[in-house]
Formats: sequence, structure tokens, C-alpha cells
Amino acid sequence: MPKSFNFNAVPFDGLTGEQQRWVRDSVDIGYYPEGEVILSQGDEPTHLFVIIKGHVQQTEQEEVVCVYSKDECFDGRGLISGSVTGVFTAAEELIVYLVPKPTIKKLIAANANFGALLFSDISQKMRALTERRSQRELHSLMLARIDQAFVRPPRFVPQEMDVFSVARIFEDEQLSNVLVRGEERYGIFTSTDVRKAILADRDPHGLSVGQLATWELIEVSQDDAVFDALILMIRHGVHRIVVKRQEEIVGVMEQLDLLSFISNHSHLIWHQVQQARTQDELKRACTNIQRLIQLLSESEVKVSMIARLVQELNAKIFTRLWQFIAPPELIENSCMIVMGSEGRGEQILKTDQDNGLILRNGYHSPDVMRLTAAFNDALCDFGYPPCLGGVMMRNPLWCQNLDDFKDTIRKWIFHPSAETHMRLAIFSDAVAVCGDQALLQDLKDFFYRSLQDMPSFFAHFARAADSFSEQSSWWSRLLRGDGEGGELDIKKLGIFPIVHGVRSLALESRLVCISTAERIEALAQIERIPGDLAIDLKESLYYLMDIRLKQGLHQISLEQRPDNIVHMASLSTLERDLLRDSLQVVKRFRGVLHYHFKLDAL
Amino acid sequence: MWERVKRAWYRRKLLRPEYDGLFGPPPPNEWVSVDCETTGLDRNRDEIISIGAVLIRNARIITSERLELFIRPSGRVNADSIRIHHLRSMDVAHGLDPGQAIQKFLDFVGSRPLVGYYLEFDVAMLNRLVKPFLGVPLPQSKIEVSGLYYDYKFSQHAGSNVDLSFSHILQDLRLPEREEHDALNDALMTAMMFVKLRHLLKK
Repeated sequence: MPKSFNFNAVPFDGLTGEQQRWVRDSVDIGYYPEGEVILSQGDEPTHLFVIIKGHVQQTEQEEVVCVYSKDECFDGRGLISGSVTGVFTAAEELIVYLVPKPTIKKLIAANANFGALLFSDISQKMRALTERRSQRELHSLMLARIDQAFVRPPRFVPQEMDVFSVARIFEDEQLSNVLVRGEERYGIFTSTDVRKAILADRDPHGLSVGQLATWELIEVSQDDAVFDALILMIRHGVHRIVVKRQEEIVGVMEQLDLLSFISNHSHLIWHQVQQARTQDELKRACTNIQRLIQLLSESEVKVSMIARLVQELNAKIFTRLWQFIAPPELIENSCMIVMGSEGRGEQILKTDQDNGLILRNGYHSPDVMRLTAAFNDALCDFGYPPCLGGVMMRNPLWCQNLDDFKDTIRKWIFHPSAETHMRLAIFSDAVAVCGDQALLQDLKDFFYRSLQDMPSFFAHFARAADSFSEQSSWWSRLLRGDGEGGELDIKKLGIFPIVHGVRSLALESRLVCISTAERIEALAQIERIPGDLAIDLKESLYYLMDIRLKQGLHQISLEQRPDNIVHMASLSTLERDLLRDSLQVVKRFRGVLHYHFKLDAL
Repeated sequence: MWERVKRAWYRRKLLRPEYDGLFGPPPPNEWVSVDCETTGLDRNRDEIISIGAVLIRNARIITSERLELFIRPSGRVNADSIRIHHLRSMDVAHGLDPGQAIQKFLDFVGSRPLVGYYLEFDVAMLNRLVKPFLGVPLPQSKIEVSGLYYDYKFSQHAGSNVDLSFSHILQDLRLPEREEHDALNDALMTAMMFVKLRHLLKK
């Protein structure tokens, strides 16, 4: 069974073959009947435990703080600090691998990622995870095979050729390297090596290139992915690798060529949108966004990056579409806004459309309602589902001239109800997409000013962040660790409390930034929330968005409409672990909100 | 009583005095789980091609101290057996010769009791190599896990039929089963059965 140690589970999944052997050679297997104490407070652990079968409960002062299940390991922290915190008990009959401390220490010394994943608090744990992912960051753009990218044809010289002649070749043929043909081997000589030749301080006419060439070539097969080539370059710290077809050298790939190849690809959709001449062409570009999201997500690109990209592309599409539908006169005299998650740049999959139109005072056009309806219908056709709450510009409530809009907003503020609070929440995330941005600015200034007249507004407004807290059973469900069959509404329990809590604090402090991450940063800067909480909040939000995105994509692939329900069984051990940590951060943040807005007094 | 006399008799007949330690008292709470893969099931004609053994200490299976030996057989490996252990003639062609293997095995086991599933067969196969070397058969005490399992089942429901197949015992004891049935994995799964049954029988 040492042979079948699971090297796909965190933190062991980043080990090299050699490092895996250290584990296999030193691992033992332990058996603990249900209820047996494995480690107690103050023990000095001699092994890291990795669960093969069963569950382990960690308790502190009789309170369960964590449950570990298959493939999870404990107690990394205790192993390193030399003293266990809490008590680890077999909650269910347990079979575990025991990896001895010296092996773990050796792994930590040899593999930084392993150490970070083993004992780290949430944001570090995630950073380590993203770092691992970032190696694959550009993957989707690099799925192409090497022979599809630009490979320079090889230029061979015999090893006896003198360095002066080689330098002449560099100059004449605009090359930066040549391949040196030796006896049954090949080397490379680059323009950097010319420097070495000069420093050798010998007659370059008498110095053979063979003496200075590098004879260990880094090679890839032309069938390999572009991605592999980049990884090799990074790993070996070189800028060029030799491309082979079977045993024959077919060319040299330079890092510069590689990077430009990649960046060219990421702009494809952008161009498609800009060059769309008809609504149909635009719709096609829209379908491609979905595919791009899928691709980016599968290659583990950071969700914040995906969200930003999608927001920009969407804004571009909305603008282009509105230009197709509305006459220039209407566009000039209005401001199209998107709100809610679209405004914050946190909507990745098309869940709904929240848009509105602010008209200039005094501007009248009999066609407006027809045009806004056409816009909303077209978006539906593009795959953006209609907003169930009616936050769409075809709805007269969200298509008014500036002064009427101000009246409406004043009414919402001074006649509070759950509904008006929700509308204000959506509006406070508004950004201008197209038309005269000054109209939105004017309206927002009015909104912020009016809020100052009603100090009691914020606490009532913020309370919504708490509205789903009664669902406390997720905690015990997660702690039980059984996961199978369990499901969580990740939006209600995680994303919404963060977004809305942060929004409430930001409004109160009159912060103008819109995205939740920016708001969190700004709030930390003015010390409205502690710095470490800010970091954790941001990481947690991204993590929750990431889970939701993955789940959503999965549902789309099954031709279901994406919802916010996460099925625990579909998560990996690490994902479940991080979800647990993230929800704990939400809990901590709720505490801050309670204290700040004195919610308990309401 | 009879066992003690037999042991004393064997001890005197031992050809190699350096192996007298095999008859000494075993270290407390230590066992060795053993399994052999063979060219076939005929205990007079077939040969051992692989020996797997792991040390058990209390409730721990010390896989870091394990023995996995491949032995060069004199003939071909039986096709039916290949299907089970996936060792072809070519795989064991570079194995140890039987004499070297049995020395390594005896050094590993020492005086510890042997644990196995259908151990009688393995011991019979091993003894064909041990006897010419030591002059006596394996002197260690032997524990049959299917026997322990039977005792355990019997203590729960006296008189019922007990399925003693290897995979049934694993499943019934809710132990993880490995797909590859090589000597080391089988010795390991047997060790897990032993550790769990020892716990169950203590209760």
C-alpha cells in the first residue's frame, strides 16, 4: 500500500518523483478504533497522519474545531511547532498513513509549496494554491502545439568554426543563436556567448565556437504543447529551446516568440466584438465569451482575472448592441448603466441583466420605450436572462430622466422597505457603460448627499447581510465532513453577506469604488475594517466565486440553468477545506458588522 | 507441551548455529505478516517467485520496514498465476536465487510470530527452501487470520456459516482493498485484518 499512497491529494500533489520516494520509503500505517485519542493537547507529534479511511475530530475545550476525512492530513502545525493544540480523536474507525517527522522536514526544505500548503492560514493556503495554478495560468492560450507557434529554422555551424565568423553570421543573417554541430552531438552558441568570447581575451579568429558552446540542449518535441515549452524555459532559466521531430532538430523556439504568440490569442474575442457589423455577428462573439470562460476556468486562471475580462467584454457588447439599436441622438442624451453584480464586475456567467437608462432632463423621444425593450430582448437572445426583479431599462422605473430618477431615489431612501433597500443596493453598484457618464455621476452625488440626511439608513440597510444567518446547519454539515449529498447555497451563505456588508460600509464611508475587492481595500485603508480581515475577505470572496463558477459551468454542460447551490460531494478535499475556511471568514465579518452597525440593538 | 518439545528438538537439529536466535523469545507485540506468490498451487512442484512481508508493532503496520523479494524460478510461471499476481517469467528472471532470498527473509522475520492468510500453504512453500538451509522448518509460531476471523464471527453468532474468502473478510471488516494482489500488498492487507481482528477480539 505504500505504493498506492495518494499523491494527488494536497499537500503531497506537488512532489517530484524523488520526493514521492522519500514518502513511500518511510511511511507506516496505523489503526485506531473509533473513539481512540490519537493526539492530545501538548503532545509532540512524531508523524504526520494522512487518512486512508475514517474521520478524525479535532476538539478544543470540548468544542469541535475541525473534522478531517479521507486524504486529509493532520497535524502539520503541531508537527512543526512541536506541540499539539487540541485533541485529535478517531470519530470513526481510522486507518492512517504515518509519515515520520524527518521526512516531512526534508520535504519542507526541498519543496516550498509543500510547506506552505501543510501549515498555513487561509490566505496563505490559497496563495500557495494559486501559485501552483499560475504555472498553468496561461494554459488555455497554450493548448496549441509547438509546431503551430513560431519556430525559427535552425542554423547549423561546425564546431571548428571560429567565433569571429559566427559573429559575422549573427550580424549578416540577423540571428541571435546558432546550433553547433559536434561529433555526434549538438550545442548552442548565442549572442550572449559572444560576450564570453570577448572576455576570454583571445583572438576570435583562432577561438573555435565549439569551445564556448553550451552542449546540454533543452529539447521539446514539436508535438508538445506550447505550455510545456514555457515551463521548460522557466525551469531551466533559458530563453531558447530546441524543437525536435523524432531525432531531428527542426528549429529553435525563443521565449520572445512564445510570449507574443500567447498574447495575440487573448485578444481574439475583443476584435470580434469590435468588428461585429450586425446583431448576429455580435451574438456569435457572445457565444465565444462563454467558451472563453470555460477554457479559462478549466485552466485555473484566477477568478478575479476572468471576472475583469468578462466585465470588459460585456461592456463592449452592451455598447455595441446599444449602438445598433439606438439612434446617436438618444445615446448622446442618455447614460446606459449596468448595476448589481454586472456593475461590480462580479458576474461571470450570464445570470441576469441589471441595466437602466438615465435620460437628460428635457430630452424626449417617443421611441425610447420601444428601443429599450428591443435592447433587453436582444440581450435575452444573446443569452443574458431577464432580471426577475425587473431591473431592466424596458421597465419605466429604470428608465427615467435625471430629475425623476432623483425623486424615485429619494422616495426609496425615505420610505424604506426590504424592496427599496434591495433596489438601492443594486443602484449603488451602478457604472456607466455608454452615453453621457456625467448623468450617472450627478445621480450618484445626489444619492450620497441624500444618504447623509438619514444616518439611521445604514444600519437598516446593512441588516440584509444577516438575513440568511439562521441557516446555521451548514456549519455542522461541513464539520461532519461527510459532504456526500449535502448542499449549500453559496450565494446566500457566503457571497451575499460579504458583498452586501462591504457595500453598506462603503456607502456609509461615501467610497466611490464599486467592485467589492476595491471597496474592501479602501475600507482597510481608512481602517474601517482590520487589514488581516480585509485580506481574508477578499480571498474568501474570490474563492466562493470560483466555486460558484465551476459549479455553474458544470450545470451549463448538463444543460441546466446555473444556480448557486454547491454540492459538497463534487468538491475535492482541499476545496471543502477552503470552503470551510471561507465561511468562517464570513462569520467573523458578520461579527464586525453586528458590532459596527449595532445590529443587535435593532 | 508438544509444541515445546518439538521446538527444543528442532533447535538441536539446527544446522546453522548463527540462526539460534530464531528460537529465542520474540520481541513483545511484534509480528510479521507474510505472503508468497508462486508459480502455481502445487506445493510439491511449484516454486515461490515473490515474498512480501511487513512488520506489525502493536496496532501499527510498519510499512517503512518491509520486505519485497523476487526469486528466480527454475521453470515457467503458470499462466493462471500470472493472472493473479501479474508477475511473468521475464519479470522474475532477474530475481534472487532462492538461497539468498530465504536468508533475507529469515533475517527480517527473526523470532517474531508469522501472520498470514491461508498461512499453511505459504509456510509449506517456504519450508521447501528453509529446510535444506537450516535443517529444520520455520520454527516461529504461526497465526492464521482466517482463524481469527472465524473466532470473531463465531463469538458473535455461534454456529453460523462463515465466508472465509480473502475479499469477503476485507469487506466485512471494512478495510480498504487494493487492486494489485502482489505479495507485499497481500501481506499488508493481511496485516490490517490482523490488527483489526486483534482489536475486535480484545473487546
